[in-house]
Amino acid sequence: MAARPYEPGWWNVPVRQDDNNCYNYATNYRTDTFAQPGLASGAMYASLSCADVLAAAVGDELVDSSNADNHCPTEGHLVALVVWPGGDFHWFRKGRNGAWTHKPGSTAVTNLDNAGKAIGDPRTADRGPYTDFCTFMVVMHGHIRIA
Amino acid sequence: MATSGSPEWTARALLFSGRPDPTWPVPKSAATEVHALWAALDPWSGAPSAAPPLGYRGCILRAPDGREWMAFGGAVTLTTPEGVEVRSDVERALERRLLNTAPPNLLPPLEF
Repeated sequence: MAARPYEPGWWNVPVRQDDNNCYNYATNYRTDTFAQPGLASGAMYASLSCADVLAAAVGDELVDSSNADNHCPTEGHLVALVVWPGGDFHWFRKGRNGAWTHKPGSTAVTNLDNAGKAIGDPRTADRGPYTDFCTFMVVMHGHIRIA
Repeated sequence: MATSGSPEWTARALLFSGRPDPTWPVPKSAATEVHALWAALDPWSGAPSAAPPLGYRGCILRAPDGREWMAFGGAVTLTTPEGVEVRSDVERALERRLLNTAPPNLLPPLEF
């Protein structure tokens, strides 16, 4: 099975919303721990940069797909990593309908960017301070481990 | 984030997506100043402006008794067990005072 359905109602409830972040949502992996890239593999990112967060996600078994060019893979689903340099990281995920959605921190899942527009491509979306687009990655269902 | 019954005043900047939001203890003297600013605010008319999904989304002050003030976009919302009250803070003085209680280098530069 490929892309995930858009299911904000499942995430946007207090028991799941507050303690699951963008990484949980993008990977479709509930931990209730505000998951951090690389923590499960013992190699969490050392800095808030594309290179470090990407390496940490690879440690969690996400697959770097920098050439995906916004196209869904034949297996798994597509996610995108962006970084607020020195501040934070953020993830988007592509759904079955071709639209991108995200869960900013402990807030609700949304399909809108900072300009209030639907997200057709995270590279061109209004991402506020998350100015660095890092890469596309693929989540192979059942292969990853995050914490 | 502090839970209801925490013995100290705490603040939380609603800021990040991947990392947990920054939180910090607020000295009682500063909390008293924030409360005085709140007391001087006029009622807000209309709905508070919505924050964008990514980036700075406001700042929260939480009292030991669980009362919570959330400041963003020129409005301050007080939430108590009795209900919700919104007041106008066009100059964002309360929000700035609250953010200024953060320890040095805890928060990135914020523009508003």
